[in-house]
Amino acid sequence: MPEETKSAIEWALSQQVQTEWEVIQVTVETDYLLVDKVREFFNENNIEYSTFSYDDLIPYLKDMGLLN
Amino acid sequence: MADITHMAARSGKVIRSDNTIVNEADGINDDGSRRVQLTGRNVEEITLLSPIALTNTNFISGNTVDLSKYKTYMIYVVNTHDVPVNFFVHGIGNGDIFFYNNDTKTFKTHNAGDIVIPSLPTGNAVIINDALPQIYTKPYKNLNAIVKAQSTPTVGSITAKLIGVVN
Repeated sequence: MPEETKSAIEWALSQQVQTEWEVIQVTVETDYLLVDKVREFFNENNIEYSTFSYDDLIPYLKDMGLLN
Repeated sequence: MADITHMAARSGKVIRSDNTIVNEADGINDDGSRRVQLTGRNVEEITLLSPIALTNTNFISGNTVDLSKYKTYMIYVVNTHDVPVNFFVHGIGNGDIFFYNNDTKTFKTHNAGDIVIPSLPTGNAVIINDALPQIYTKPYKNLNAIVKAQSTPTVGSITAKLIGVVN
């Protein structure tokens, strides 16, 4: 994972997602929204990355005290 | 006529349809509390494919799950990639699963890549049970999902989860 992953997670968790019906706050529990937003951060900041999953984010989430 | 407002909620013995008498004291614990048994359906959600942001068109395999503990289940897929993704299901030795087609008298696999998960707006999901009716009725002990993007995605991810009613 890129070294900016922690920053990407922090940014993602501050985001909301607008669906057709509601606005959803991105959290650790909204797993696919978190992955989508982390990817968005990488794209917008021209950070190179390869295929990654929510499981790849878990160690960072644990280090950040967001998961047990 | 008796005035029922002065009667207990129920009086007399309780008799089952086979004429045996119910001893209601059997339903009382030693400490005087009532013995209560909860009934209901135990539903679980498990992850077949953890949300994954695909960056190429390689085959990617998810978790292997045991479906034998479920009476019934529903599989749903969320694809927020900007491209369609082919969805495969493998089981029994991680190879293709073949089903007998009584009309053509031949065995045919469903793993032909013909289950295409379209790109969906965030918040939407597709339920694939109807696309895989053979899978839906079988108690596989080792089933796993495999995905392959039809072209290189630049945004989004794909997720597959199963909601099962435990036997």
